[in-house]
Amino acid sequence: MNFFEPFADKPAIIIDIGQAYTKCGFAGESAPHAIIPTQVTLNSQRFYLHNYKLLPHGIETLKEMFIEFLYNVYYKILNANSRERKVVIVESIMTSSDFRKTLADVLFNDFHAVSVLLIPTHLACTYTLGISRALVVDMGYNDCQIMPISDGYSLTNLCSFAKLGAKHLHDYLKILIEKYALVTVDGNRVLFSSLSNQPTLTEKILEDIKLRCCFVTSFERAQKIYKQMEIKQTDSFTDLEFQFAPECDYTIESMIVHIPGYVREMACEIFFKNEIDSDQCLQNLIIDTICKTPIDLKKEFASNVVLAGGGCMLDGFKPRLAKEINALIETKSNVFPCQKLSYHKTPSHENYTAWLGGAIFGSLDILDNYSIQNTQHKESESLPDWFSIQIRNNLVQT
Amino acid sequence: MATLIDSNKVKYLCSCNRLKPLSYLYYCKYCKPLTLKCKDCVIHEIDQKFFCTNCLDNKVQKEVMAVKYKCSSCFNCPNCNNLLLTRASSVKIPKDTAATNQSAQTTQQPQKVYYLICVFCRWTTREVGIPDVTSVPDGWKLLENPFNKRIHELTDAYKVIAAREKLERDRKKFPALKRRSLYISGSSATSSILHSDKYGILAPAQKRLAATASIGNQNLDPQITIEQQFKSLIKPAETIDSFEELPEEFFTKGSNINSITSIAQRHANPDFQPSKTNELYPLNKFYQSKESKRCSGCEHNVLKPESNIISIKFKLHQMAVFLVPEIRIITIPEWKMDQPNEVILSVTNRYEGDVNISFLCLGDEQVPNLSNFESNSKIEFECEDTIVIDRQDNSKAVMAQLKPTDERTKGFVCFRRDNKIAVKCLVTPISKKQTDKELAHVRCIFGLNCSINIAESSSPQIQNSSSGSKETFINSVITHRIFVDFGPLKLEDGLKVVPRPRYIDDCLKNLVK
Repeated sequence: MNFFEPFADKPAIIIDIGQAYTKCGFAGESAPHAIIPTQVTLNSQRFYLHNYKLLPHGIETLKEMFIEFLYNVYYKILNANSRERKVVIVESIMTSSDFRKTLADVLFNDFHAVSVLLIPTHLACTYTLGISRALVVDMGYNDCQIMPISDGYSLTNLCSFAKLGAKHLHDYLKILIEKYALVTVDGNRVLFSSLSNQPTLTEKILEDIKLRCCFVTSFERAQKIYKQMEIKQTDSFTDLEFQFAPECDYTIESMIVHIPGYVREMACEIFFKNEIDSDQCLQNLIIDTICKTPIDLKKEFASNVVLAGGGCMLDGFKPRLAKEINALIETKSNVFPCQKLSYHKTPSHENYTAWLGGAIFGSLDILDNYSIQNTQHKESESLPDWFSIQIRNNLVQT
Repeated sequence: MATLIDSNKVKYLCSCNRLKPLSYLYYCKYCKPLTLKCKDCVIHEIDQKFFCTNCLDNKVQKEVMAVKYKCSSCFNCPNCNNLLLTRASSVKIPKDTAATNQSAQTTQQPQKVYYLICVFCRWTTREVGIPDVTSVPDGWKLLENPFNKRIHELTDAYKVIAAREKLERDRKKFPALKRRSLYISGSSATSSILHSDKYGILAPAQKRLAATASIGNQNLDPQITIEQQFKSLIKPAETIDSFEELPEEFFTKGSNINSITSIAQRHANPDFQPSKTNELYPLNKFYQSKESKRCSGCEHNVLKPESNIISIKFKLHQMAVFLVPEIRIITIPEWKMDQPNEVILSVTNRYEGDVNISFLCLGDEQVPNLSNFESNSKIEFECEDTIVIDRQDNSKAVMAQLKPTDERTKGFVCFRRDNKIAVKCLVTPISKKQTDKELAHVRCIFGLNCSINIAESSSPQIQNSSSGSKETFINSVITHRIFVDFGPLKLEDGLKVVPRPRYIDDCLKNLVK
């Protein structure tokens, strides 16, 4: 493998299989070749790859789904022969063992990949910046994962994750729309909930509404709104005297739905304020994670925060998060070492930061030393887990 | 009757134990016995020639990788992903005033300018503000990712330390080999093994040296750690303390949702991911290439397209449709549990010769397969004799007529025309086997014995030379397992009983005297 590299001129294939979208492309590029939904069509039905547990015969169906999905990625999108290419898979450390084992089996046995490397998402994000210590916040579809990275190791004992992903935002948005939205019927505006045949708000429609109509409101406005809600002791937004953003018209199945301003502004509030458990919001989680870290690393993590994942691309998300964290630090100033956190700007759009990290690593000569070769996999037949001793010796140190 | 021709109803068992409709299967004639292969158990190979589907410009793999698989002259609409056409319009521009010419020249010269337009959604480059171009080959250039520079800096820095790390690892692997002897210098010429090239390791060692000499060897001083070397190569990433706030317009001005892009439009251009429709840019079309398939057992080609890009024919076209008779459902009765219901299936022969078939009842036997298809009904064939199906004869119009042999089957064969017959079967849904009564489908498995005459697989050269002599035919019998899913047990919501079509009744009247 050292001298005779017949595949030296063929760049490795980098795939980041996310919960909602998959980013795939070649090593050495600055952006993925394509971003496709992580869904597969089996028997004329569309399934999410990660929902394999809901189907009967889960694991076997997962294998078939992988074969179909990877065939699509290799031959329809990337136009690459699977037998000649090395593969880098960027995956979250929290991926279930069944999932990664099936993925590795499919890649080695059905697609005969030359070698496979599995990189953790958060570690990959640090490669795009050239830093060795960082606190990576990955806002994904299913959840939000906050992981400190130090010298090539993901400090999993200090990580935290919360069910604050796009999925939960969509669910909350659905509740708000069903409660507050108005529809124009025969010139009259009626409540959405009063319609006899309500159009189904599918995941795709909710995602589109979130993208086009919703945004994260500013810190000052949010404070005013909550103050008023407290004074008036109300949970509903309609009674407030606050000047919300103007409403937005959205067409669903030839019906025009008017989405009121307060739905647009307050839908994303689940990230910053939790009614039930006030600690389960982003700013608290980030601060708590930094507080849990060892004393010598606290300052480094606080000055190297990386925001990655599609959730960070919401309009107004980043300034709001920064201000919320600053406000929280002021209340905890005796415990917290610094005044404010410093954030990195990655040379990529946030939704493919991890992919870019994988692409940078995949273009290095050292890829072979860290990957699992095809022959190795045949002998061992098992994939070392992220928490096992074997992996610890293998990670790159910048 | 779209539901009857629905290919997902009748599936055949492939050699890898998967169930696929007949149109999705290939066959390999070199494997003994003749095996069926599907997309998932066949080896795919991308052809080396890449071409743009619109302008048919062809490139080899290396050239295509250099242009990132994007055709420079063909574009897709960023709004609806269809082809963009170039339109020309004439614009009068003032003639260039030469420096020497003092007097103001006001003569106008008509010039052709080009812009792109999508025929489906009427999007044009003018809507986005892209100025019309004067020469098409230079046209609409691929915009460069603004982060390219930083990413290249990072990658180069990483490559240096990766090379250094690799060198250190390789050194660790060969501790016995004296470091001194790797460097072929004049002073150690007499003593170094490599210099005398006694054991033939000079060339590989020199190659290894050359590969790492340029980058990793610059600083091998063990005092400087990898971290420090990296920091010296690249300026560190900058951090910011606060982010730009949302502009006030978000809170006061109503937004038009049509001015914001959808998620698919953003993903179509991963480098830029424009959030507003007035930032959309034409997307370059991607190069594609043809695929050829190989049997995983014997490595012979199963499907090979012609190398000519425009041609849609195949050099080798071993599709199962041309070998195995195709079964389709003609009628669906109103299902009665635990009673035999009459169902008519049609069998079509697309092989180049006659086929003798016979049906096989499998009883309670379950056939293992990867789709977990379990039969919950019993299918019975009244007649187990072999029935012959003619090959397709396009020379004359054939009437629907039963043969004398068919009459002996006592109504089992109820229709025959050219290469197609229809047979009557009895399907009994068994109530004990229904797992979920609400969504149960009537499923059954049976076998089909096909006996065909295959020409002895002779190479084309031999065939040409001995064109006059007879080809030896071998009779081979293949048994296929066929899995039929008739549909839901309870026919509701628009699903209807499909009655016996008139052409079958007409055929029964037309008995050969």
